[in-house]
Amino acid sequence: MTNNNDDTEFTHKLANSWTVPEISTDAKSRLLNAALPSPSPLKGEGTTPSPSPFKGEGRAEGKSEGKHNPKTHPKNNNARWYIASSALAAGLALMVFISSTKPVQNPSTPTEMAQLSDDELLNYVFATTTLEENN
Amino acid sequence: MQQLDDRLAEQVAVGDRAALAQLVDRHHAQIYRHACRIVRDAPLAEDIAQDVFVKLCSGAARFDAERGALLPWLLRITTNAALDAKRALKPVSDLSEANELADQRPDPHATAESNAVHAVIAQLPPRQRAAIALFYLEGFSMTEVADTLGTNSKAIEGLLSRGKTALQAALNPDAQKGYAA
Repeated sequence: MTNNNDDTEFTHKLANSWTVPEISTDAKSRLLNAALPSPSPLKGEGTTPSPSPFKGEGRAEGKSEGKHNPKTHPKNNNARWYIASSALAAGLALMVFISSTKPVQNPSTPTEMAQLSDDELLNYVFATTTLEENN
Repeated sequence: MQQLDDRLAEQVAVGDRAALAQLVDRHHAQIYRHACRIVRDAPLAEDIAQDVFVKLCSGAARFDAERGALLPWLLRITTNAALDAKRALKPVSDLSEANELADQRPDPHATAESNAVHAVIAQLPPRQRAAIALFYLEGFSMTEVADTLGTNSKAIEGLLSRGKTALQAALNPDAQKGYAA
């Protein structure tokens, strides 16, 4: 009986003194996700393909479940503008590149030859010389 | 209480997330505390508690309510997982020693008694800590502690006796001074 009382008192003191750090607040939610992962982190999310060609588009603020029409969704219009402007920029860059590598001018009169820049004249002379040598 | 646990365990065995959430609400804190007392490292104890529930999900079908209640079963899994974790930490002793040292620093908000108990606990090997926690704090019998730790009751009795003497000195320093005088 004395031993039991002694044990009870010891247990009580030990329980009060043998404290442990507080558990972190998100431990339970992490645990649930690890033990039995839900099919998707947010209800309804990720079960249907995103309507936008860009990954992640159209999912913001959990609106993917809504009744909106993907064809008229403003984010899709933004995407189209992005594609069109990218294509335009690429076309312009290609035109600039082609114009900078224009073929050697072939002047037929001395006046035309006088209008050529130093580089163009040099190219003309070099091309003519090479052709003649080949011939 | 026990019947509810048994029913929830059956539901978890078939993948019922709500039942698992209930079991987590009921037992997570106790399992974390028990793991933390053995490993003395809060993040590691959280990982162990998580592993215990993952094991519960995969092994709930094997739980036999006729052989005992769910909580002691979970505490046994926790004890073994915590002791395994301590063994696994041995090779990187620098890290575990750093954590132990961090735990040994006196908490300014804790009582002198609590700091003294923690200082004694830090000196005990993990198996002895587990035995003391299971027997005195979780209400396991001597035989159950022996079964959990894979040893016999006589060995557990020795572990508990030595641990209790050391802890009593920490809990009642005045009494010890009196005996000494």
